[in-house]
Amino acid sequence: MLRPRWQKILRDLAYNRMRTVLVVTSIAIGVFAFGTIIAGLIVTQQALDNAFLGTNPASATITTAEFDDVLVNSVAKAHNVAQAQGRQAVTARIQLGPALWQDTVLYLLPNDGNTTVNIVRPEQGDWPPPRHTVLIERASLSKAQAHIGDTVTMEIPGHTAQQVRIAGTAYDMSLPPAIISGQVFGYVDADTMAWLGGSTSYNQVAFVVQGNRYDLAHISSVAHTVEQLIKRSGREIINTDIPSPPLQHPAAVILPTLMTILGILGLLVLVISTFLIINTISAILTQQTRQIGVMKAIGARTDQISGMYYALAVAFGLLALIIAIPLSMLGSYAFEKFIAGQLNVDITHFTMPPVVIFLEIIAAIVVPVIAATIPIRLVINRSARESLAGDTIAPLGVSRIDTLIAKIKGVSRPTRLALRNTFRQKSRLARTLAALALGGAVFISAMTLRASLFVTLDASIASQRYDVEVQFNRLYRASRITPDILAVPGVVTAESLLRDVIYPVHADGTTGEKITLRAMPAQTAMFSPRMVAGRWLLPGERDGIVLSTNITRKEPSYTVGQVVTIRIADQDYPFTIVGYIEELQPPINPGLAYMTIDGYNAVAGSVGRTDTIRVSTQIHDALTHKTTSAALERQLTQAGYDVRLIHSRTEDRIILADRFNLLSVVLSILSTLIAVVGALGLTGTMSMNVLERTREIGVMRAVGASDQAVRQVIVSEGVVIGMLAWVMGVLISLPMSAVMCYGIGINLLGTSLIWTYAWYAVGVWFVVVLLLSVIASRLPARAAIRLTVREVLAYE
Amino acid sequence: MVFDWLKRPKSVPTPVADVPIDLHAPIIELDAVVKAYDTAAGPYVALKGIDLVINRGEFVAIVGKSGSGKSTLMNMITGIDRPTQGEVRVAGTTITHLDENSLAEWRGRSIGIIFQFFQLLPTLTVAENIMLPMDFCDFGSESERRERALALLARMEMSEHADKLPMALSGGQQQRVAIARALANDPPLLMADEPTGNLDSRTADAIFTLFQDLASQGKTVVMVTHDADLSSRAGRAVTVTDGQIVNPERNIA
Repeated sequence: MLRPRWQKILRDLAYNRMRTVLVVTSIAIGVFAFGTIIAGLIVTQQALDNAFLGTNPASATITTAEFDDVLVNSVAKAHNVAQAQGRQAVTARIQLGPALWQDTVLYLLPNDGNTTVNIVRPEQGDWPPPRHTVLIERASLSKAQAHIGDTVTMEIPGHTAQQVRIAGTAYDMSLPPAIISGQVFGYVDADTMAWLGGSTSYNQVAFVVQGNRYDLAHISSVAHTVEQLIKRSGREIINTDIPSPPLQHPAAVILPTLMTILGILGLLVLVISTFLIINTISAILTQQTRQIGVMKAIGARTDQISGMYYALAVAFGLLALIIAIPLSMLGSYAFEKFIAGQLNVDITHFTMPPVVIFLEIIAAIVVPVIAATIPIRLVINRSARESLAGDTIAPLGVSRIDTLIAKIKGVSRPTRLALRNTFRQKSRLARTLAALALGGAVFISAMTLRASLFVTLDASIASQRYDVEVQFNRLYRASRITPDILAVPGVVTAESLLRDVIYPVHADGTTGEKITLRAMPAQTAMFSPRMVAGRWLLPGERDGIVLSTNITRKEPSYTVGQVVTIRIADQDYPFTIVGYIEELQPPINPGLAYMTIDGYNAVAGSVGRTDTIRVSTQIHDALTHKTTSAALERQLTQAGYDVRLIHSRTEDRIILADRFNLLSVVLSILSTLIAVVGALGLTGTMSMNVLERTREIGVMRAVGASDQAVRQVIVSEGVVIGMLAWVMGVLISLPMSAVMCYGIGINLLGTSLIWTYAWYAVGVWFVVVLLLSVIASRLPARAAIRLTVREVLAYE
Repeated sequence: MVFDWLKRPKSVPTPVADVPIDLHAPIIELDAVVKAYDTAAGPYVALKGIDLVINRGEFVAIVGKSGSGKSTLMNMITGIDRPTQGEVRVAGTTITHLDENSLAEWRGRSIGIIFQFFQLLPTLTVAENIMLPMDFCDFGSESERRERALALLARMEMSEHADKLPMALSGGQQQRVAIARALANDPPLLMADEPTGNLDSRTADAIFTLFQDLASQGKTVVMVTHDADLSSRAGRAVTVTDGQIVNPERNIA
């Protein structure tokens, strides 16, 4: 049988069901949010790592001139090479509509479908791909807007478009997820590749080193050996790609930042719920002050009484755990499924990392105990006499606020009473305000972050002053192609540029990650760069290069004014970094570099030629973009041009916005959770306030106050608290959102976001707080009104 | 007899003050006790140099008007409050020097306190309320505590109410439970603050008789009251007026 003191704690929990439910729900939401986020990210990270390691990822990939299995076998036999695999990737496109094409990369699969490095696995349908069919990487199937069994029009640049049946799907974890890359990945056998016009030999060799696969120096050394071997075969090395850190999936880089951001938000939910725990324990202690006095009078030591109330806090936590653990298991599973879906990983079974359960237990037990310490110390240390006297509510009319309220003119007596009541329990009010204001601040900040993300995206899109971009598979004379483009209806101006892929060359001779190069006139009308450091290119400047800020994540030593070595078409050239621009890119996209056409031509020798034309249209809306794209596609194809891709700014925005969806959805869910915890806090506070004033309410009713008058006093108090919290939340959200935008922009996207305060969120939060305040205070008001005057006056 | 005293369980530790009883030895000694409070209106002296001796087995009524200082005097004896000056010695312990925790422990073993408004914990059953002081003071084993609580309730003729919550009982019944709770740790001294103040005259009379019986069986009973009729039936009445005792030596019975 339980000792009476513990019986008391259990009964206190049971008899004050509303209060228990509020506190337990509040802690449970905090623990749930925290546990869900941490578990979701840990499990996703593990799943991503396991799936990626299961593909036997390449330690390095070397791009060179075309070769066959003989060279692959030589590489496989090289010193410290464990396995080697030849690869051929061909740029292609799939027709989605009359003038709508989807950028596609076609990979050549061995005829038996078996790969040993960067393993591609069968997913659904046929395997290996039958003749004249294609397998689509499962995550990119939706981008092809087709299903297994459908026949699509596929075209390799410069060759006849063919009708290709989608025979099934494949699973290739070595590639970045389609949601981030925005491309379709297809797999065909040699016959199909040749039928489409692609090369059936290899241009890349991917190999796995023997020994420590995590040792970057070892990998570089082996890569150097392989490079020598390839060079001896008479081929130049175009690029050597050594993933850093080794054995890490390309998308894994975003998870730590995501975990930090979401973990902090999850902790905030927990902190907000802590305020409610302090308020509740403090209200319980205030309400039971006389009981504490009696217990002291009959022999209870301070430690025994504090032990009882700590046990109450632990009991709240344990009850919250009962709800939070299964909920966070379900929540994290859904969260994992969502993130894993975005990253193209399978969450095969339901797992909850024991460390997360442990953290949840710690959070659910330790947080309430710490929160309870302040009120317990305040009340328990009172003498037996003070406790028996049962002082509960501070006297009125002594504080400055009370005096101020007394001076306010033109306010009805019930409203004046409501205002006074609001400030009676100042520390409780402070905690309620803190919880609700913090909830509001996080809500507005999350919405601001979302808005800033899209405004930055729009600014980035807007800095591209063109309406439609036409990319060709080969170089054309600009003087020949420009008149043809200007002849297309709707096109107003056209400007030619050149695209290429370049590589930074390090001091030790290794190359960094590829960079997308755009060579354009310095005084371009089609691009308005957002400079953050240095300057834009000058007319005629030949050795200057402008980089996007996200390059600094991979090449942190690069600064404005620095002379760097850049590899263009197998040759290394010195360029001076003259400036940095901000251009929003999804987390794992390559960096961007700009140089003048003159500068590029000086090294690449493409004078007067172009492979990309940017056009501006009369009207800049989505419909015009669509019709102009279709007209360009039709007329250029008819004129015999080898068109690779036509895309408009409208499409670019849709594709980019889609890639930021993950963050946006998670932030919205967390904001809602925070709003719920804040609402619970307000409901709890209003219940406590009304409970403590039960006798006072009885007196009001005894002297003639109607139900309506009592309700007005209580609801007005709730609304005053809500509005104060709203103002505070708005004020806190200003710096909070700025910090969040900066932190997330720099850490996740490598560029600072354009802070765009979400005023609409201020309005939405106002309505939410107003509704919450009314609902949160009407519930206790209804309970107070139900009591008869006799019952209320008898309340002890 | 209805109010036969209970034999204390063998495992129960001997209370600090429960030395061999000498019915004429002092159990309460107050020496020049002064109690002053700081109030909004300035310092207020509630007790002005009280000297008082109460012997074991006495049934003493402390009487006085409202605000005379009688409750403050009770608080000095029970250690619920501390004197500003002077010394208080109760059941062989000088309590003036004890800290709050030691005082609580000492109080639990040496004094049973009965309040005007009963002050039973509303969420505990009647039996659990009685077991609570035993729980705090580690009095007896778990099963002995329940046994003792039921025996005390039987003595108070309240056995059938053992598992009810206090709110289900009348005022008189609650006060009987409060007396049983005060006796839970078998203290030598019972202090009652206006124990009949909230009861009708018939119930008040029954409660008073209960105190008389307790006193006749060796317990020292000190009762604070403003009821002159009741105080006249006690063994001795100590009248407090304006913070001073005006008749320390007068014996009624």
